[in-house]
Amino acid sequence: MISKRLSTFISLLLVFVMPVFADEEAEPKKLTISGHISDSNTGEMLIGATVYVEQLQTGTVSNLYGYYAISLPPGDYTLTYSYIGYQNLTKTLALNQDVTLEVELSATKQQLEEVVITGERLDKNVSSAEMSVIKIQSKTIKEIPALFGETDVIRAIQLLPGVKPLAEGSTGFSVRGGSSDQNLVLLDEASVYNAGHLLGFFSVFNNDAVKDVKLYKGDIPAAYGGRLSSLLDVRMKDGNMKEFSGTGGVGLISSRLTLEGPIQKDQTSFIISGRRTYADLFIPLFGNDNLDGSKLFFWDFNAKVSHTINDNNRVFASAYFGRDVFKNEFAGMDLGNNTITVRWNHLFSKKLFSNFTLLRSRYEYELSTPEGEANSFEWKSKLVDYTGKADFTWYLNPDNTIRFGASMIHHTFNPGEARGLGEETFFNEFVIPKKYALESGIYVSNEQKVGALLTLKYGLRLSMFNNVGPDTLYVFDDDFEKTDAIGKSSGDIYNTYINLEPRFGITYILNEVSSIKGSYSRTAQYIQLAQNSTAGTPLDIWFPSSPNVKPQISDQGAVGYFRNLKNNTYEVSVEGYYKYMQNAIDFKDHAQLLLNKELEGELRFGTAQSYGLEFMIRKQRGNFTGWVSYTLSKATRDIPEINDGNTYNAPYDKPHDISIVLNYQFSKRLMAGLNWVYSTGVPVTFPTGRAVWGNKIVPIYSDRNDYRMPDYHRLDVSLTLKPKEKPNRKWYGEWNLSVYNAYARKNAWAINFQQDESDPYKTYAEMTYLFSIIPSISYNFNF
Amino acid sequence: MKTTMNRIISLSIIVAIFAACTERVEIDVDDQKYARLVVEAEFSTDTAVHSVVLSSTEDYFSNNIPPAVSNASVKIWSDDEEYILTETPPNSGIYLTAPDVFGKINKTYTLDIELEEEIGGTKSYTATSEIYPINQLDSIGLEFHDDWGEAGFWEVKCYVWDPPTTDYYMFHIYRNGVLVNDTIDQVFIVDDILYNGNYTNGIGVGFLDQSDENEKLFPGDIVTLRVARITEEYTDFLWQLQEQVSYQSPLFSGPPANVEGNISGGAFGAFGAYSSSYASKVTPVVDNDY
Repeated sequence: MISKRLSTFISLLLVFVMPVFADEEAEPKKLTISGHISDSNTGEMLIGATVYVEQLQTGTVSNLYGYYAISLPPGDYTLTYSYIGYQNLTKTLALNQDVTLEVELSATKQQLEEVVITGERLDKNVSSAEMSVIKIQSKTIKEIPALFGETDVIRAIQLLPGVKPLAEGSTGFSVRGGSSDQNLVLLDEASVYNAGHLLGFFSVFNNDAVKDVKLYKGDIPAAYGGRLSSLLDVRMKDGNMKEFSGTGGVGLISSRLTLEGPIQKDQTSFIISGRRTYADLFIPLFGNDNLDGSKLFFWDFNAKVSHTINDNNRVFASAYFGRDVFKNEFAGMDLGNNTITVRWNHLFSKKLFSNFTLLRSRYEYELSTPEGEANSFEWKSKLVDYTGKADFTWYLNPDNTIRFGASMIHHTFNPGEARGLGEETFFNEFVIPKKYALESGIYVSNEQKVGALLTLKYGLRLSMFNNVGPDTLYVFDDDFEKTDAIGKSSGDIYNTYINLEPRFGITYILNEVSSIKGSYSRTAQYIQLAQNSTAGTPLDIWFPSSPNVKPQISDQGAVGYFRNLKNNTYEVSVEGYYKYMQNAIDFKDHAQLLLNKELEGELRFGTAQSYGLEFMIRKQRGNFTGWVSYTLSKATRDIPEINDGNTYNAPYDKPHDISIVLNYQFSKRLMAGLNWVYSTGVPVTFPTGRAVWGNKIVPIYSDRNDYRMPDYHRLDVSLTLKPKEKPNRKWYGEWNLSVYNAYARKNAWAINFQQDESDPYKTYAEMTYLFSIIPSISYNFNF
Repeated sequence: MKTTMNRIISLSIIVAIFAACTERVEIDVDDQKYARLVVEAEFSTDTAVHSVVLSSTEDYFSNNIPPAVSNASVKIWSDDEEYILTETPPNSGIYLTAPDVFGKINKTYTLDIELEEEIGGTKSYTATSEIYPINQLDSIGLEFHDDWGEAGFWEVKCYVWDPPTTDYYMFHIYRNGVLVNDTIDQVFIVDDILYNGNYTNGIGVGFLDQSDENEKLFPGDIVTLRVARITEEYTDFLWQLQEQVSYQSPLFSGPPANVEGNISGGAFGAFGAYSSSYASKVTPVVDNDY
């Protein structure tokens, strides 16, 4: 079975690649220009910088490691290198042999100064073969007013069309109606299983250590798989190759410090970055004695070393450690992520770029009560991945860029183990057996230019998932009652799923300022989060597909119109999408998801669909920058056992969603930022009837998600004051004042129905809102 | 286990929302689709008057005392017993047994209700529940924690052997014979997943807040603990109910869902039969000047 599918796949691969080979045979001998594009001040590799060949009106972009390659017939060429926020660089050369051009671009010093833009490809919005993709630079993220002044990558992407926060303040997000576990969140290619700190109010990404963030809302490249809805690709900085430098900040609730520099100039660099919150220092101020002696903080630590062995070999090692600690006299909770990435970039030839990666991702938590009591106990859960990956990019000719590769992940799930602590305890040990699985994929894709106007992207990913023993497989009947338990021995691959995931994209350039694009992608997801609440908690566990849990499959189609206005100053896009998901998972009423050996019996399966229109206008140059986005969407689920089998609104269905993000540079020293968001309230289930039982009024509910929370809207503003320009200034410090929720809108976070204390038969609705107006100040510096 | 977990989770909630504020809001909801019978029925091994309370559901914001369902015929029976419950006083919806009635261990009891007029399209309702044996409480303990809360808490500690079977327990606390945890959300209900077959060794099963007049203990007050061994079905009903009347937030709460009991015919509520055991202790003098 497997081998038959495999051979089908291989022949498909050949069909893809063969015509490309044939092309090359027929054409005259070509020469390759290749190299890396980096920042002239720091040596940091630039991702997605463009190389444009004027004579042929064609070009390429640098890859995730700053590498580019383009093959051209011999001749005289003018190449323009450009990147947003950097001055263009033009090189002319007579191409008569393969050349390596290592290019360094200088950052434009002052955005205020009118930058004369001569290069091409500022029309990337229109011409790039990607759609449903948004890239944000760390610099842009910094300019957005932030909650508590804490700049946050994920809060920035939540302002993009089609992306919605799970709840007020949450750094969890839903992409095009999907759940938060359908987002593949990668930090230097390692999966981050819980991207939130402090119950999700902060993300694990320390912006100072982040180079580049890219979100794929659809049209996910064939190189990636495993999640249905999106890919959030966060890349850490490589470290300054030129000189020692530092960045940091002191804010109301956290401080940060990043140090980077060369270990050996232009060859080896390092970066270390740390962040620690001190929210617990304020606990005494809340005047609540119960919180005295409590601990509540998190820290993050990022580190990376990059080393250039020679022109053909570079190695990178990076790591992330993060920890959250809550503690009071009754209980403590300790949790965190840890990722380690080791990468080797190797050029087999100028045209064949490769990257080999080894990864480890871990997420774990531990809860415990103090030792020495009858009820002293600890409870732990852990998820560990080991991944091996090989990715190749073959710059065959200017018209064809072929990518192929393979990956394999070994998952170990430790869903939970609880045991008594100390001699006084009366608890036994309760262990949910570990589960093991393999998740692998091979892929090939080609980005093919057909003439000057049409670009095709087509690829195929073959993914495979294996459940590996030892395990106990529970058998459930039609009523989800356990009927049998079958033991599986160690190493036994007792269940296999295989999915073929085609990815297809087309870009057609209508004229110099507009294009239309279309894409279709199928994605499969084999591991998911047992999360029943909308915003989730750090205790939610991941669980694998199994004979009882079929992989979730999503088919998404999207079309878009892209247009640039006023000499590429404004980028306008409109995208429509439709997504249909099979084997969608929801949970039965009153599901028990933690410390439950028969978790699979709590799941219910059906279909989900979402569709929508996303509008965006973005301005990235000039004194006035920012974007306005509007999303009109719908997301529903159909699960036979839920809501009597009737279609119900998905938890993140917000039909109208508007974000306005603006930045204005008043002078060289003063900059203001503003963002305003509005969205329809999320669907909720409200009581329509009541019963009195046990002297309490018990709600009797409407249909699932039949009502909505009040609409959500909020304005945030910020002001940044930069120091005076001085030549040779070593220390550069800036003050940032921000106000979250500037007009103090009371946005409902939860609505509860309560019994009046003075009249027990009277009921009322009470909303909880988390944040009123929150001013904050922070000082950021670099040297 | 569930309760311990909930307590830790609620700790996190406190931490999470220490800065949160609440405000009453006007929410418009539809009227209930149709009225349902509400049944609150327990039957225990205690020799006592046992009650079945019948009422009907109402619109959520009706703000009335629930309408009593009167003139029903109600009986509880097993293979060799039958007890007719009579409505006392008339039109109260409260149906009582004689005072000398008690349930027997290892028997399955059936509750039958026949209404005078149908509610929600149904006139006849029935439910069953089994009484399992219970180990008698060895003793209880009282420990004062002066550093908990504003005025301290008395912790009621329980000493009993848990049998090797899967068990579910419900704890009621009485102060001088008066029930303290008199609303269902205050009742402590646990399973034995984590300590099956062990000696409980003084685990805390009740916490009396000394800043609350209804829970305040004075030296000499008699504290009585009743532990009841209830069925899994009844436990699920009570847990669901406790969850639906507790604070719901986007972090920790699943979607609201209707509480499901064991009464046939679409009634809301449950019938729980159980065995019980009692132990008491006199409140000692505490050295603290609380």
